[in-house]
Amino acid sequence: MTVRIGVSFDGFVPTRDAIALAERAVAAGAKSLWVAEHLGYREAIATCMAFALRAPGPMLVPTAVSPYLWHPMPTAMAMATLDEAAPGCAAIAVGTGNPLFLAESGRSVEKPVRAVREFTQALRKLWGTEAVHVEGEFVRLAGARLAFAPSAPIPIYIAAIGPDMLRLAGRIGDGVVLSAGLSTDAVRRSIATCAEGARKEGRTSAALRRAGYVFFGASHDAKQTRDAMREKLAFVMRNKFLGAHIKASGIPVDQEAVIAAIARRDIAGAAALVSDEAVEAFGIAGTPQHCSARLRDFIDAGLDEPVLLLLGSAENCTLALEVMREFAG
Amino acid sequence: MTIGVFFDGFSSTAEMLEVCREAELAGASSLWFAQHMGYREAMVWATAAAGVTSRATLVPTAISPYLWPPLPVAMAISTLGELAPERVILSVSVGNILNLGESGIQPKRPIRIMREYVEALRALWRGGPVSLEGELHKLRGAKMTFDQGRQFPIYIASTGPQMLKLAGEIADGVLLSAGLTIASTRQCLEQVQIGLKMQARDPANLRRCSFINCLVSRDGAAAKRAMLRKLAFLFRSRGHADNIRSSNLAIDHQAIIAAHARHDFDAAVRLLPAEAANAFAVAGTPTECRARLEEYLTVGLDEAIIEVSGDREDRELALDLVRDIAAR
Repeated sequence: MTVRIGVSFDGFVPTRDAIALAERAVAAGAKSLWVAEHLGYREAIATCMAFALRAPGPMLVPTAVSPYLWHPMPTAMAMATLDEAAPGCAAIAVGTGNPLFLAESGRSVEKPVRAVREFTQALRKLWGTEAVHVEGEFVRLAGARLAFAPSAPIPIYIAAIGPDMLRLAGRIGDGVVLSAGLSTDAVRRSIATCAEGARKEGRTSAALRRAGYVFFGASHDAKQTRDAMREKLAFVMRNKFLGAHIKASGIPVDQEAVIAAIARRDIAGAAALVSDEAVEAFGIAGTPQHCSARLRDFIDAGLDEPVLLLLGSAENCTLALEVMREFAG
Repeated sequence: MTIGVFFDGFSSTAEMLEVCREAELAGASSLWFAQHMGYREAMVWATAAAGVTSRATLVPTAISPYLWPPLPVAMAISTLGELAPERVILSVSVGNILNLGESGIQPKRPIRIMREYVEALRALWRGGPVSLEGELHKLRGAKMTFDQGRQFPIYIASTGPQMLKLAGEIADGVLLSAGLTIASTRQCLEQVQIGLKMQARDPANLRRCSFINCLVSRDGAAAKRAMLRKLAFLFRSRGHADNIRSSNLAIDHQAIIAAHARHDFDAAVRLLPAEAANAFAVAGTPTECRARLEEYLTVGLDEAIIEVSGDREDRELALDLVRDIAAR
């Protein structure tokens, strides 16, 4: 299995700081840069374009673009434009999006599997540059077409948590990208479900990239990165779809309380609800040696593209990139 | 009077970046990226341009509320603002009806929708949770988490009288479409003035800008022929009806729209007489273009925004025009 390591950006830090980290990540061997489309934070496709000019080479992946908020036509245009600036390096992750934040933008999540499927199929058709006619439940196109084609097919990853979306990823995705905040057992189960979808479609799961976000904090002071991890885990746990995975882990987390705290934007309050046990199970935090061993665990669980969300200070990031360099090499 | 340069999204990203660098060096005060459906995406292009410029204002134009919800737009513009501080403007408009229809959208109540869209964007940039039960977009606690409090100027792009009045009422600037006759340009500015008066606004608080299609070549006839293709594309919009009438040229506008609807672009071009190149735009030799551009500069615009297109020699000639005006 060829493993390629990616680095994820959550849009929380100024874009220039993100660019500086992207440059260092590419120098350390990152093969992909993933930029989260968290609502209210830095916009993902624009940030990817900034990366394309300043940190060329890796695959650039806005993630996860939601069919509930984005129309396929502007999305297809934006991704084809990104591909033109970085030929063959553009990819996209399509996903439902976070129900809490979508509700704040007046969108309710209904029939997510169908919405993601229609959106994904529409993007592929639009990139074909023929006039596209679709009369879907979520996507309606009546002759829309792109005037310029991407230089190569743009891979579409499906961001999936629940079993139906995982199976859809297996059926139609060029890859799947798993949420951050999963245990290695949850990664294993998720990939198995995804493979089941691929088999039903007569596809080999080898043709499917298996990416997954992993919170990654390397430090000589384990407490420092554990605390940083707590905040990130709390933020990702605002997603109600993670509930089943949390429950399956057997680790007690009051997810309702976490969601309520994030809705108030009380990040510290939400973080206080995440225990050390949860930090240990749902991410990677510790000394470089520990991080290296845990990253190997996630790869052994089935990820061929771990996407690391680096935590902590500049010094922590430097240590994390050193660990990453071992794997990238 | 300042001079800007606009990009229609038809050229490659590499060429756009090259022209951005050259235009800024020539003195262009602004770079505008048109959001034509199916072509290069404007906000992504503006972000790329931020990486190769240091002074010019960057303007994605025109973002339609029917296709782009307010929160992702606020996010994209604020992201761009981090890369190009103090030099970002957002231009919004209904969008082309034909192209919206192809994307499955029938725009209804555009004036109300536009007013709500501008309100929503400004509220998001103010920071704090936004509640707005608009007709098209609903915000129920959405908020920006970075750069709160930084407002970006919002221009309204239009040629319709009601929308121009709205621009006069609420916008920081107005952008007139390319392909207008001089008479139409004047009429549009009059509508903006009415809107300003309705709100008793100081006219100095609103910038009046217009795209002016421009093709300069030593082969003036070739430039004019090429211009007809640009105009045929623009005239797919039914919003150009009054403008076309103002030219007093015999042009079957409905037939042009119909040709576009069946994607027969060459047929649309054939429906334009040769005189159209001079009536609606600036096209020809450098001398012809200078003279024609001067006419546009007298109608009351604060900023004329031209294209720098064609082959390398043609682009250099257009940049000469930019230099001339920027040096005044």
